[in-house]
Amino acid sequence: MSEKAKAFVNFYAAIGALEQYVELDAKAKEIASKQDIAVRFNVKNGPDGVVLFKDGRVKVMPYEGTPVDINLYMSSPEKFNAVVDGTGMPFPKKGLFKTLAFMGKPTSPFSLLTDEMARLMRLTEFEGYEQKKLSTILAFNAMAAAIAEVGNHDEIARYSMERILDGEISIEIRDVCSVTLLKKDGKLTCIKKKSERPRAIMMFDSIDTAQGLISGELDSMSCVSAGTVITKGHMLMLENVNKILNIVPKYLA
Amino acid sequence: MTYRYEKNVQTMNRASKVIPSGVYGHLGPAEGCMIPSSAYPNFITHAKGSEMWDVDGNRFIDFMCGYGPNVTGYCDPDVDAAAQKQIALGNCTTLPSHVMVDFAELLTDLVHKDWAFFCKNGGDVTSFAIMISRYYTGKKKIIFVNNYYHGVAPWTQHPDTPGTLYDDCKNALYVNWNDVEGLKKTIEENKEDIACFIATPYMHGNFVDNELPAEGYWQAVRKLCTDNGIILIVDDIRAGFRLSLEGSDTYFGFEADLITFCKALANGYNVSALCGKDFLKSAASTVPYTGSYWMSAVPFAAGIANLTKLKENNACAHFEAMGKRLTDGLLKTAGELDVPLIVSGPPALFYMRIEDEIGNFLLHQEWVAECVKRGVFITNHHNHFLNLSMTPELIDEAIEICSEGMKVMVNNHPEVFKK
Repeated sequence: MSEKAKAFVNFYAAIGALEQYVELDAKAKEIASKQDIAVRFNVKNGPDGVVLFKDGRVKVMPYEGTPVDINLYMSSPEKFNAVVDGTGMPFPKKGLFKTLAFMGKPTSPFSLLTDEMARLMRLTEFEGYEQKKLSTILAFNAMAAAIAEVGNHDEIARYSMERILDGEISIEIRDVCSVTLLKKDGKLTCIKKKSERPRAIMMFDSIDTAQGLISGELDSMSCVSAGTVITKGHMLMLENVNKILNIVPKYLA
Repeated sequence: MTYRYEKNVQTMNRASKVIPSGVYGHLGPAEGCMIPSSAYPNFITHAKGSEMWDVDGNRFIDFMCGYGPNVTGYCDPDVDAAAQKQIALGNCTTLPSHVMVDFAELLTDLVHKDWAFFCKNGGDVTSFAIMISRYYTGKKKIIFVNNYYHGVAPWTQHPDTPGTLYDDCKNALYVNWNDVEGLKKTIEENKEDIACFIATPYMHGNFVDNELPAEGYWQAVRKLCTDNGIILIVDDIRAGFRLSLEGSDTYFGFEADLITFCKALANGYNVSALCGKDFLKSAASTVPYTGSYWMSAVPFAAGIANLTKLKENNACAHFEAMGKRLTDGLLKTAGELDVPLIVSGPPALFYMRIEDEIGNFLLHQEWVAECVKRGVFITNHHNHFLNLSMTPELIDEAIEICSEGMKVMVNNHPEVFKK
């Protein structure tokens, strides 16, 4: 497993799922709405991105030079991955006290949000359908973002990514949520909205199917045979996405 | 009225519990050629000639022919009689039956090669061809033509294929179809280490328009291989005995060093063959290679009857005529409806695609689904096959059904087809 790929997955897929979490969960939204802060995660040889809390929303995006309140520097992907795993501390180049307040202890807003989101995403038994739905949507978004990051940064997955033709791939849970994987300029990007012009479509027919596949209880080939995963369009694009998807769990585990 | 598949679904539900993917591999819906899977049946009860009936009793005119093996017709009386006769005499025995020799003589004479080595599946013989080439040349690299398919053994795959290791693929070189200059460059860059060049006789890759060899292409490849000590392998598993009974290398005017056959060899009885030139016979004897059922006599007897019948009935001319009748009919309908249907490849193995603005095949997949649900079994992104039992009447019926399917697809998309 590549530490660099894991760092990109940790930032854009794991932390990136905060975007949906604060949108869909009332408690999370309440915590987020009290924050107005931009945090840069600057990882040498890894992701350099910003987590922006504003107006009750979260945006996780590449750093493009805009001012930030906190600038966290990590000297390697390994160091960043340790921070995400809770076994390491970042070095704040800017905003030491804000860092301590925002993410310095388990009851800090960022820690509360990420810990509870991670717990939700790892659930295998649910209190009810709404909790299952929330957990599945979060995991689905993390999975989709991870496809792009693993495809771009894992040595083996890059073979698949390079063979994906240019264009949009729609990945959907029917009537629940959609993301778009865009292949352009030799890389994959995950866009968290429905594709208007997909060249290929992979649709899970229900929350149950999506949850079963993400948790590993179901296998995708059997679901395609059973018709609970609907695939259409340019199948070679999906074939290569599936090859990347086979590698994603070792990064998201 | 379109078909319903209640019993197919029930059977697939049972299958999924005890068989990986329900139906694994290229006959299964997960392979990407049966889209949407809900338009397709999964299991049949019986087949005859060019038709098959699924577990719900739906009848299909079949243009996939078991993905190739059905070449004289399902349950062909002559081939089956030869097989039945051999069953009574013995099949998988301690010593091989003399019919193996009869079959080898018939086959080598037909395809102008010096020896034949029998296995069971296409992948058995493509793998053996690679092993022989490496042993004979003492070199390790394999030149592939992009969009190739030579089976599922690790040496045929890319490192991202589940079950394949990076090291399995590190001796692969890739060139484009019809690109002689690219091949020259690849040979120059790897001159001391190339064992073989392997390709199908024309580009019949899935998901791409099929492409015939350019004028002089194969002759140039032959010369480059000869000049550089590279074994030239033709994978004729899909096209063999459908373009010519003499092997597709003969059809395109060159001579392969090794040529592989399987699908159309014995009308569904399980046998494959690697045929080669004399200078590689000793290598084929030396490389250890065998299997429990490789010398079973029934497929040899069936193969003899099959090839004999194909020869006596000028089968390849029939395949071409039937393929042309069908594709001409479909192109006529497409023209009338302003549907940009593109037919490529030889008529005997025609490939179809409806062009669309984005390149997502959705209109094509929708049309194909409407055809299948009305009783013509075609697939989305694979070439099709004709067999000797196909009749003009069945072709005309298929044209009528597929034309109706195309009209339904067109009517569903007024935003695209404005007339």
